[in-house]
Amino acid sequence: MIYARDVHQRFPTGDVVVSERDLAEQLRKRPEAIVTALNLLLNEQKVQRAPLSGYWKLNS
Amino acid sequence: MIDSATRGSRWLFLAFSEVSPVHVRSRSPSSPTQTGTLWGEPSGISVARCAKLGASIKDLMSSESGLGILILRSNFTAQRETPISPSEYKKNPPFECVRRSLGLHATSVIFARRKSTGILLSFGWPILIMNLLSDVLSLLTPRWWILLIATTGGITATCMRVFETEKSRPKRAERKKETELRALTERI
Repeated sequence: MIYARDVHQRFPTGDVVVSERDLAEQLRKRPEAIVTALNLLLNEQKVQRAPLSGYWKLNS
Repeated sequence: MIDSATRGSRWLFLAFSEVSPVHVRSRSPSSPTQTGTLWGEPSGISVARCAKLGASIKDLMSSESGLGILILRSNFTAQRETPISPSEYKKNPPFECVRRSLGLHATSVIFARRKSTGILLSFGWPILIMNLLSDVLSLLTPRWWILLIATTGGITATCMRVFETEKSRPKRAERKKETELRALTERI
């Protein structure tokens, strides 16, 4: 959860919500791999699905 | 150094066929002695050799002297005019062996480091290979041993990957994918 912690330090008052595509570009990975990783983190309750499709809330 | 007339260097190549008495030179060798050739009175020519039974590492590091020792062994077995047993050799240094084999009539001694002739090498290739192998192993430093072990490990790992079964290959790929996924979750 390095990326989520960095964004939370930059915007401490708000929630960290990112799109799958932006996250894939940021981490230089395929979107499919990002979705798989986010689903893994969802099971560990470290992320939540945002109301908008393709967006995720990171619990940093 | 005691000098007298000498025949030249041809004796190196004609050690087995010299039949005429010659004048020789006697001198103390500056390098380890491998062989000695003694010439007696003109009426009784004698040739004797004392082969060095054990070769030092320093000598074997030089290919010239290493081959020379090999030739000496061949000569020693081929020419048994004055046989000398290993125990006898240990008791007496080479110079004494030669002198004693010729009795009191010995006049002088020639010491020479022999070069390979190409013909006599066929007698002892196995001995040469064994000597070189043992010397290479003894000369390996700890750093080279570590390198050798690491190389062996790498080759073993490569062979295991090449010859792994069809069942274990997907399992390994799945394990690798899981590791990558875990690393990705850490980055998110």
